[in-house]
Amino acid sequence: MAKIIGFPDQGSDQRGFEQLLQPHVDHLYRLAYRFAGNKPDAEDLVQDLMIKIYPRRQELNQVENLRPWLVRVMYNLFIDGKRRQNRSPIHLTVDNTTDYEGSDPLDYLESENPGPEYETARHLYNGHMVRTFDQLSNDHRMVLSLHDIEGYTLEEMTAILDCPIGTLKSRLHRARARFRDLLKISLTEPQHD
Amino acid sequence: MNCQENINKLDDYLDASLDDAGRLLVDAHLSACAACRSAYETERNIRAALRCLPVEKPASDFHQRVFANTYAHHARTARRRYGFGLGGAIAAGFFLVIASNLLFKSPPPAPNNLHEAIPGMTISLNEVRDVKLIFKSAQNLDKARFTIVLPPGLELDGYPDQSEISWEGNLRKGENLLILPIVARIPGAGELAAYVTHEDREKSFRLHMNINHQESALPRSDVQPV
Repeated sequence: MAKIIGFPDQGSDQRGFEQLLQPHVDHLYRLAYRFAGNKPDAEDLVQDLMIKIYPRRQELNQVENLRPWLVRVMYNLFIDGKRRQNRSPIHLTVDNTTDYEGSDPLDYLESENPGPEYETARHLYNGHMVRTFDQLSNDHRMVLSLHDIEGYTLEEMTAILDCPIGTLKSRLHRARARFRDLLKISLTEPQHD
Repeated sequence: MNCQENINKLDDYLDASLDDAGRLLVDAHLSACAACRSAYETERNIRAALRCLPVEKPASDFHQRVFANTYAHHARTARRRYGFGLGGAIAAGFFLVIASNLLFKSPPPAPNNLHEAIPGMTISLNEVRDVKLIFKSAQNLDKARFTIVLPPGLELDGYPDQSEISWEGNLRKGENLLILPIVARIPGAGELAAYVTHEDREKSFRLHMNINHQESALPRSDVQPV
């Protein structure tokens, strides 16, 4: 009786897939959380991403810079999901009064040598910040998440969002202005010419 | 530079995307204008505060679950597509026997000369058909590499949009059966090629594929041996 050749070796396939993707899962979840604004939707978004890319696992090894590529696919999934949601007659609301684990801003500041910037940030940080961020439009939340929070460069973002750099700059500018408006912070009026 | 011009450049300044001359202009203005310095500090602090926004941690088993769910999802999809298990698949489909021994004593001939006549088969649109290849090997061969190259319009079921698939497997002494579930997506014709390599030796075969315009009306278990 003939021996059956595995097609392909799914065990090895899965190991390869996990080795490639594991290092990115935390980052993808964090970004998904910034996009979606809550844990269940963020987990679902990362799950949908994995399901979508698994059949293309052979190609992933050839992707030069995998993380922005993954973010782009996840961004498209998020946008598609929002479009479907907007067309649906059923709308779910999410309770955003979550208790954040490790909500001390000390846990989140990246600076190793906190200075005045840290102190001001600590002062600014509170639940109001979170709620204000959640009030931003999807577009604004995404550009701020990618650029100001996660540190993606404008060049990387042009590939992720499929958008020219000039448009991105304007969108970022408007997103920051909107965020300031919502926080009721205005930049100082010009004093002189 | 006046204050409004300075404010307009603050984003680029904070993004470090100004050239040296532009940066020096903003530096000079900030050192001379308390109002703009305050605006700069505010903007910088908002960005720092944004980076402090908390993220609720995912469930403790999230990593494990996300991969397990992915594999389970695709396994379910594959089962729905096939409609029966591997045992059933073996009994149906299209057989091609690679009778030649895989071991070459000298450098192998060019792949184009391996087969005098190219066998062929016809498949309907969206029909899934098993192409079965039997490799006869004189001895165990570990870590053989299998490569399948598909013509436009054909896919391996479960591997959409991939025209070439390659993986490693073991060949055992005697007959080894490889089942390729082929599905047609676009009408046309072309050659499916399969390669088996082990160290510096290679065996290849080609199969001419015709794809009918008509959607499949046949059950997948239709047998069409050559």
